[in-house]
Amino acid sequence: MELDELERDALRELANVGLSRAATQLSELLNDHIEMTVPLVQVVPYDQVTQALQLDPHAMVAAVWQSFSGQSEGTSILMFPSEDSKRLVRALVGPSMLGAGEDDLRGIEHEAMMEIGNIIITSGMAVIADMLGQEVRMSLPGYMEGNLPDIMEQRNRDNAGREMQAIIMFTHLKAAQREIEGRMVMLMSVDSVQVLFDRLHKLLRSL
Amino acid sequence: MKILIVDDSMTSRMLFKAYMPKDGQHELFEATALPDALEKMREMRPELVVLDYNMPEYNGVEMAQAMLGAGLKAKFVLLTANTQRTVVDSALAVGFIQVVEKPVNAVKIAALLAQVA
Repeated sequence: MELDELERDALRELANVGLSRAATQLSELLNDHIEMTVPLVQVVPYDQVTQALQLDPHAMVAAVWQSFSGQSEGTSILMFPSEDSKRLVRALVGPSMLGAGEDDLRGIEHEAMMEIGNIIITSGMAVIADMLGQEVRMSLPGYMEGNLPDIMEQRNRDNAGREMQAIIMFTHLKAAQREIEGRMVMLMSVDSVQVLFDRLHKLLRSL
Repeated sequence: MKILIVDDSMTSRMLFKAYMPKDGQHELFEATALPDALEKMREMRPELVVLDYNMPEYNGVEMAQAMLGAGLKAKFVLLTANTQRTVVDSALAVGFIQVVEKPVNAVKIAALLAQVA
């Protein structure tokens, strides 16, 4: 799907407002200054998504995902390089990890990452839906680690036979004196993407 | 009132413009980055400058500091969805009179204009 400059700008602004709201909520939870920005948004067919994400396909990635439904349906997947995200989580929730064994530590890390991912995805999706006059319902979050092709394949498993597209938001997260690059992907059928873009066009026409 | 909005997003500037009252009382100018904003301030002398927080080179608070440093005075308002304490405090410390939460709507803009009138 080809977007013109204004449509790309509008999608990027929606993503920036959504993730800035998420940063506000995260800062309250973690008592730290958090910034999240979206410098770039792309829309690509599913078969190009792994390449378009510009992440090492062999590197381990930590991913939190949530399905969404409403006028548009799909799955939102938030991904960060595994080691970066673990270091960040340790810096943010470090005090609660003191004295924990290796297994407990991993459990706390996963829980914390799922909660952080849940806040980012839900806030982001809620703002995008509100600004486009849509209603969105989110599933509970799931968490997985793996390489990029495995993660995308698993999350696309239920979409066999459907033409899928991905809206990719390149994200920059700054927290606990660290900066990490991540990706938020909205994996949706072509029909659902069209519904979302129809709403976007309606918004732009109203201005 | 002369108002300058500084935001790298065309959509955000369009939203702000769309929700401004159409009463002929206000003149809106736009800028996308610091050099352009400084030039518009010198040329147009706006009474109110509305700055986005999240911009590529300098954030809105840093831009206001640069404007003040260049001897350009106005009432500053920060426009952001990132309303965490540290951001709001940094804006107030520079002298911003208000932080307006994105996304904007007609009610928020009317309240802002009533406050600065």
